[in-house]
Amino acid sequence: MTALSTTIVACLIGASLSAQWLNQPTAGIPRTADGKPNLSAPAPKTSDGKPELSGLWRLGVEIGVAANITSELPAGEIQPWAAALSRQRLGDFGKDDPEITGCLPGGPRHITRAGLAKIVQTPTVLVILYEDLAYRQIFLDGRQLPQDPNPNWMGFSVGHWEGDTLVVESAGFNDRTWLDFAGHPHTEALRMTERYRRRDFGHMDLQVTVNDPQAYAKPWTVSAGGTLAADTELLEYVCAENEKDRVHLIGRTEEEKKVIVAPEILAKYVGVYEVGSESAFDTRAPRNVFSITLVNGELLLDLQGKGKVPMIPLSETEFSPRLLGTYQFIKNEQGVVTHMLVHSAEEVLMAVRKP
Amino acid sequence: MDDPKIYAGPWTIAVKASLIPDTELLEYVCAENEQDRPHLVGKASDDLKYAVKVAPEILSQYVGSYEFQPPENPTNLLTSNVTFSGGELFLDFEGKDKVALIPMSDTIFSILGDRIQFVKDDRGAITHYISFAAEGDLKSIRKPDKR
Repeated sequence: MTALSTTIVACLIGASLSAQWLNQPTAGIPRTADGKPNLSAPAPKTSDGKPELSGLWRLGVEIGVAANITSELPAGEIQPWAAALSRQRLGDFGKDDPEITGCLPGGPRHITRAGLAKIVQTPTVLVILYEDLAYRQIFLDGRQLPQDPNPNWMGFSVGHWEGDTLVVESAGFNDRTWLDFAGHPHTEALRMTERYRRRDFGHMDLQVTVNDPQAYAKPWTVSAGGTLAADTELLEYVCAENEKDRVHLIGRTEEEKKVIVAPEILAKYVGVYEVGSESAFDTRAPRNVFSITLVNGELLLDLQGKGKVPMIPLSETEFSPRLLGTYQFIKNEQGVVTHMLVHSAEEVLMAVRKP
Repeated sequence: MDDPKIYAGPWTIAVKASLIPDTELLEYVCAENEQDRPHLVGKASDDLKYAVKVAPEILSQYVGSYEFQPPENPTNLLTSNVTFSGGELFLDFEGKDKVALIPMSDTIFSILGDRIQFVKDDRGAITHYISFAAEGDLKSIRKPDKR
């Protein structure tokens, strides 16, 4: 089960979790007259005058960016080997994703992915705790990044203040983690720079710059900020618990690998599709809008204007971009594509084609 | 520890703790390159099938206290004791967790599925035992007899 799926399941079974700390009121936070957390109150400071970043936050890139973190990069800025590897991993539906199917730490993806993160700040170290029991230590004690570190999963991180912005530099990642669901790789030369700025009590701006000159021509930056998650608590998620998926993840069958869909058929699917009601998978999105485009003979999918992930054909009407599941285009009696069904483990979403 | 559904009353154990300055917590990822699981078959008690008879006078040579210096925390010495009772050798750690040693040969014994081997010097005196672990051979040095 993915962290994303876990979020969905947690939403669905929220009632049974209420006996835990899911609805635990956060102590000591400003509240409005009606008792709700006042997320617009001024950002707090530590006793030494630094911005206080501690708290439980819902951070991360938008889901389309989590699907394809390189979507805004010109194709020429992705080294051919990196693009080919991503394509191969997508074609295999991410069956070898170390984080999802191997239950290994996400490393760089812990920095960008959407989800809950608890920040515990001290004058010399800032610790970030995650639902999957992973953690990061960002040292604020003036040390430098290690010169020649033994590469590890979560990297090594140091931070310093530039005014009210905490700038975190990370390096020393091994090259076994993926940058996104599309399987974009990185090398051990990867450096990540995070810039945290607590805009007010409940809002964190976070810009993450990805720099790996051995795989990508230039650094680029994505937004991964979010909001304070008040009146709840970080609850554990254990990837390896009751893990039964791995043996079923085989990628495409030999038959599916042979599927080629004619461009004139693909062109019929181009359009904007909207999910009628709020879905559990991204609570920040009021309505989920999928856009399908046809570029160089293949369909691309983005969600909320982000992503542009190739949709791998499974049949003439079914495709998988490895984002939420399998997409099935449905026609009416006149042969016009009216909607699509998004089949995932948790639900079947219906997205209606906009005129 | 308090779990009234299994244990009649709560109990308390002491946990050793010492500050470790001038180093840092480095990650350990259990699932990384995990290749052991398919090889973990059988039960520790299966070793009973392959147990050999060792003469009591040989077994009694191994009796004594042994000290192990953990590489990750060298100041925290771990003492194990080998005792002989009822024709059998036993091993405990600092007086706790006493377990029978199943003889696989005159010098090699099974302890809960793991192997240890007692080693002699040129004069035939037992100097240490080696625990064969995945990480390497771990040596526990015999402490001088109090007698």
